[in-house]
Amino acid sequence: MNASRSVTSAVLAWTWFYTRGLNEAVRDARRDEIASDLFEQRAAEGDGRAVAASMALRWALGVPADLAWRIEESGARTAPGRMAAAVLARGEAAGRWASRRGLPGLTMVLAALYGLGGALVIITLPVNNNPERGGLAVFGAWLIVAGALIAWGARLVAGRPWAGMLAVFAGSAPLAILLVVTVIVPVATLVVLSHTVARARRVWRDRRHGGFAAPFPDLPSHP
Amino acid sequence: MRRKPGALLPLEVAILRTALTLGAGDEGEFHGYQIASQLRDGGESRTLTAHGTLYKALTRMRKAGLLSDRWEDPATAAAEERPRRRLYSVTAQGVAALRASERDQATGFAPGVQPA
Repeated sequence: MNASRSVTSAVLAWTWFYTRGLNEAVRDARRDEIASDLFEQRAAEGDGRAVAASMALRWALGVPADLAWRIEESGARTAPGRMAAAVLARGEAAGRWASRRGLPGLTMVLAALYGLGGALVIITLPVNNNPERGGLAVFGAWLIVAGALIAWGARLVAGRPWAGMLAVFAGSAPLAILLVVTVIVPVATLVVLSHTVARARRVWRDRRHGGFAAPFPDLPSHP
Repeated sequence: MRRKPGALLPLEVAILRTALTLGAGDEGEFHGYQIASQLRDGGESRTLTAHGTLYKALTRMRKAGLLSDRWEDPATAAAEERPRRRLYSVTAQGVAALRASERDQATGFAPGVQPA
């Protein structure tokens, strides 16, 4: 099975999962529409690894919107439902931002999510009754360091490719392994790492040909 | 940031503008992947719009009356050995909403139209 077929199966499985229990017409329409989209993309762009990466990126960035849509369609009226919808709306906005800016956007979203997640874990420690608070503090600090490493590495790679790649890898890979069951985190990490390696290779190629790379050729110019 | 009720999101403006100016498929209709690729090719986004983001926006626009939709004839899809497409087209209300949004932007106001 090639990469784009595997991603197609994963996206269809995810679509099956988040549409479960909805009105039959709504559920089937969403499933059919996603199946059609995946087919059309492969028909138009082929079955290569780049297409698989593009499909995985579309999937990962759209997860908050999928879940927000699910909450809307199921008509959640409870306070937790409304709170979840509000949180997901922020995630959806981040997904739109990253979509507009391409892969550099996803790198910065991943860095920001780790940083904010770590800050949230540490800020809530005083009101957290979990007996493992020491472990939580370490995990929070780890998330913050990981976010900083990814953001720093993404900027560093244009000038010092090896150091930049190492920083992004050190920041993202261990957490991807730890959070492998989430599926989204390892997929997003793979996409970010592939993009970082591609940027580093462009820098080396430009240097071999006597040119020089722009400092941050494809990073977003503003947050 | 909470958006004004009825206001168009940038993605919704981009979908309407792309569908109307770049031209969609037969009879002015387009399907999801088609509009995503036209948004990318037209410079509205650097990558294909995420599945969840795109179809949530299309659902919202359809419910607001900015788009109409129909499922294509299953026989057509079967003949071409592919899943059937959901085809969208911009309604008169969608055109009016886009014009109002562009007018607001040109005059310096935040885009905000009220689909009925």
